[in-house]
Amino acid sequence: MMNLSKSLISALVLSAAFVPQASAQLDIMMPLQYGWQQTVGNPAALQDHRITVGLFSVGGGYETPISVTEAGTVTDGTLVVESERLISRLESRGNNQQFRADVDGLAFNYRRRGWQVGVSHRIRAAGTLDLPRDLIQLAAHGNARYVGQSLSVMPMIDGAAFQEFAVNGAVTFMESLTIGARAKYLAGSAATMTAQADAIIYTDPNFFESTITSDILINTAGVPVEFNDEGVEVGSFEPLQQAGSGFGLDLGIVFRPNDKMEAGLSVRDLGAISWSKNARQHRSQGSFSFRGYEGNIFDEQGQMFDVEATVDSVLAAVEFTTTDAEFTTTLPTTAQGTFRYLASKTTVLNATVYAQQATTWQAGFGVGVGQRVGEWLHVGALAGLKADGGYLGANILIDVFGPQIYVACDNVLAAANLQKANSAYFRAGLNLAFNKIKSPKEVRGFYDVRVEGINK
Amino acid sequence: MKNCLASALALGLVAVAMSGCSDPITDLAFESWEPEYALPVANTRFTLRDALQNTQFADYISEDENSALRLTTYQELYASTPGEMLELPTLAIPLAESETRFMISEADVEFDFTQIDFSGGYLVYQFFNDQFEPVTVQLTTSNLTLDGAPMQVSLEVPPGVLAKDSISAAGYRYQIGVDGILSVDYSATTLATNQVVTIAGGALTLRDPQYDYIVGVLPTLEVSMGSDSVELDVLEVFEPGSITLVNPVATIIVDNEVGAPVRLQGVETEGLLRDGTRMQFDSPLSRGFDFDYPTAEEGRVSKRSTLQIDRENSNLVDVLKAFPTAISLALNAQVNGDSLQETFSMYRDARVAAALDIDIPLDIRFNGFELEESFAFDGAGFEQAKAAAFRLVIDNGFGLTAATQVYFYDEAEVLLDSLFESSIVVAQAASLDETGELYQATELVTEVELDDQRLAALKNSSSATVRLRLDTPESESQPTRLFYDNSIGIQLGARITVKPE
Repeated sequence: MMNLSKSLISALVLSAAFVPQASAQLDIMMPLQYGWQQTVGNPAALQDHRITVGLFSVGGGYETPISVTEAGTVTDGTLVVESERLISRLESRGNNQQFRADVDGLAFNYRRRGWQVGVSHRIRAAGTLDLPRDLIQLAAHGNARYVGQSLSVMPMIDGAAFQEFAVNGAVTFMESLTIGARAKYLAGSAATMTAQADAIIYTDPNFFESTITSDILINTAGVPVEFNDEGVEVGSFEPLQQAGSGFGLDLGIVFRPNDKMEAGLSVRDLGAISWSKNARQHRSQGSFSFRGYEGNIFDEQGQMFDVEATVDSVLAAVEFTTTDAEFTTTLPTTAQGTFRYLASKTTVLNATVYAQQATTWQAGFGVGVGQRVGEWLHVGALAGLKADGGYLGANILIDVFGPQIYVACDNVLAAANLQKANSAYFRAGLNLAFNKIKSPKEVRGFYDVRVEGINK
Repeated sequence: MKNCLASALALGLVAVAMSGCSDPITDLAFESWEPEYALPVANTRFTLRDALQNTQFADYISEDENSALRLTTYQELYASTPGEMLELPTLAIPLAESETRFMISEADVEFDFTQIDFSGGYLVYQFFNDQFEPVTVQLTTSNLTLDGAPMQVSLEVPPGVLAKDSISAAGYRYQIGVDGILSVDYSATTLATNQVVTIAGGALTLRDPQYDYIVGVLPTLEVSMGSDSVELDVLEVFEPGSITLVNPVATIIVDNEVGAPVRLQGVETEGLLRDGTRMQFDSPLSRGFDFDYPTAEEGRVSKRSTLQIDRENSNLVDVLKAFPTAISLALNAQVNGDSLQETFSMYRDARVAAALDIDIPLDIRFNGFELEESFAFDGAGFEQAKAAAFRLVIDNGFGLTAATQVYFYDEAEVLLDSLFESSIVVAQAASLDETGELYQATELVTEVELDDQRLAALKNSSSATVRLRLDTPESESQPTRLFYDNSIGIQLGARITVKPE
């Protein structure tokens, strides 16, 4: 019993503190940095080279409502969790631990005057774990403190991993307005979706009769998942298998009223994936009460009052029935607006606002500056504000005769001290860019303002 | 230079970013992490029926139509038949004349039967021939018949010889009239000339007679039934003084097929106490118990007679309060003890059987009666417990106050500790109406915090024994009546605080 409890709280605390996530801010810098990632962020963003090849890019990040240092203190590599502090920072629901990881494969983009077309491939994984405060309280304190109260303890787990095969295109109208779109075929690898997550534990004050009322519906696909007496068994997973398919769409628009200003708006990840391979529905619905031993104590054999077995029976009471069932998950749609202003020949001021639908809509705002340094280096910084506080991001792009190497992080403080960060995102990659399109006034730091020859 | 600075800045940023992940957390600990669990341990209800089902009470308990309980024990004492009590004597009838009229009353026997159906024995006849030639003797009597035909036999007797012969008496019926005369005729004729002659005489003897059925006036017979004892195992579960029996009743039950008055009399009745001493048991039995019998007209039927021995006519309560291991009874039986000159009938194998039935209604006062039950109890489940407490909720449907103590034992059945320092009252007596029936149960909640010593004992225990002491409330003026369906509900929960590893 005790080992189980400790394992449980360990898992919960670790997940609360470390589960990487990807939230809206992960992409916040994509439309603001140079290169292929800008077009990924907004399909209407034209590349400033005729040919751009995305070779390789990895990105990953997380967001948690509680950082490591908010959960406890770290001493010599040991995290000493302070339960009360941890709990005081939790909401009853919506404590979403989010992660996202992307691996961009090959991408190719061809730019000609005011239009461009391209193809790309990405592997994406994202997930959300919502740990209810009651569950943490139950794990930290046990149920004795909550006798006579109802505890809602069911976490919600949502996540998906899929490949994205995309075709993008953009075209400029009236010299200043560019619209773009990206159509994506989605090959799903695995997914889990919590459609219903009500599990209420009530401990009666009389003699601690415990009742669990459950109404839980979880869908999984791509990975054989079984709920049994031992808990959850997850089978082997093949990352590149196809367990589902779907389509997605990114839309974008960029408006350049003059040589110094640019406004962009993109809506990404419209679409859904239908899951069919190993697609299962796991349901638990009912009420289970535990009253301890209820037989005749005068039976000749005597009785075993086994506390550990009692706890195990309580935990095992939420029985699931598993059936094959196809289901559909929607993509986490993001809407993002950007504004850039050319303050000098080498300096750009920018601002961005975004909203993303994770389990709930999340929004953020940021302002930044980009600075060209010399012929082949560009650095940028971004200060942002979102629900869980401010952050400071930075990016670097080195552009040397074709190859573009870029590194971006949305929270440099996290980079300095990950344990203090509620969120962090890091991306690095390598592009090849050929045949640079000359921009007016030889301004390279401010991307493609009235490219010479467009619509002319 | 400018490019160099920019390059350095870029590399620095990358280095800072990478260093953010360079301090991994390798272990996890919890500050003041002592979760406390509240768990149901048991939720059970048991009736007296459940509680007593496996005890030695079970063999002795009975219930009436209202499920009111009584302890009863029944034991056969003695059984006998007339064949064991009454033996017919040998009867010899001299035949001096060829026509003999014999008055049974003149015979040296103690019975005055008008009918005997023989199942065994012999009819022996003998004659002495004082003639000079052989003779044949014919003997007949209408008082002895076989299937309705008078007995008729013949015997050849050589001259100068006393000749004897016999036939089985089985199947013959002896029957005489109210005059009490048994008539026997014989005649002797010579073999050669068939002339009737007179011989010296003879005799007809009824030897070793066995009977199936007799009718007549019985003599008074004294039969010693010997000594027997009634084991009182039912009382072994009680310690002297732990209960007060209010209204026990012992009943002598006689089932009688013998068509004659029989009186059972206790000549020496005693209670055998646990310390080996004896206590005189005074009861109406010592004055004799006459029981019913079937008349000749009724034939062979069984008649039941009972003799009730209670607090009014005996010292039974005092004897049982001493919790004897047995009651010893030495009995005599008197057949026709009052020498009645009536005609009785008896079958040889008719059965007269006596039994003692002791009935103790559980209208009793409990003065510390204890029940004990042992359980397997795996204390390993508490191994990581830093503190533990029990919450016990008992609703008591018994009309008794219950106090309990729980003892913990290790695998070697060595007593480790008890749950409480001393027995505690866990249930107040339920309210009973004037007939002793329950009309309101009581509920009592007890919370017990285990100290370190007791918790340690609990962890090492492999079995537990619950001892329940029952008392009739002091305020009750009347005894407690127990019913099989009276029940006690037990709800036990545990609070366990876990110590961090």
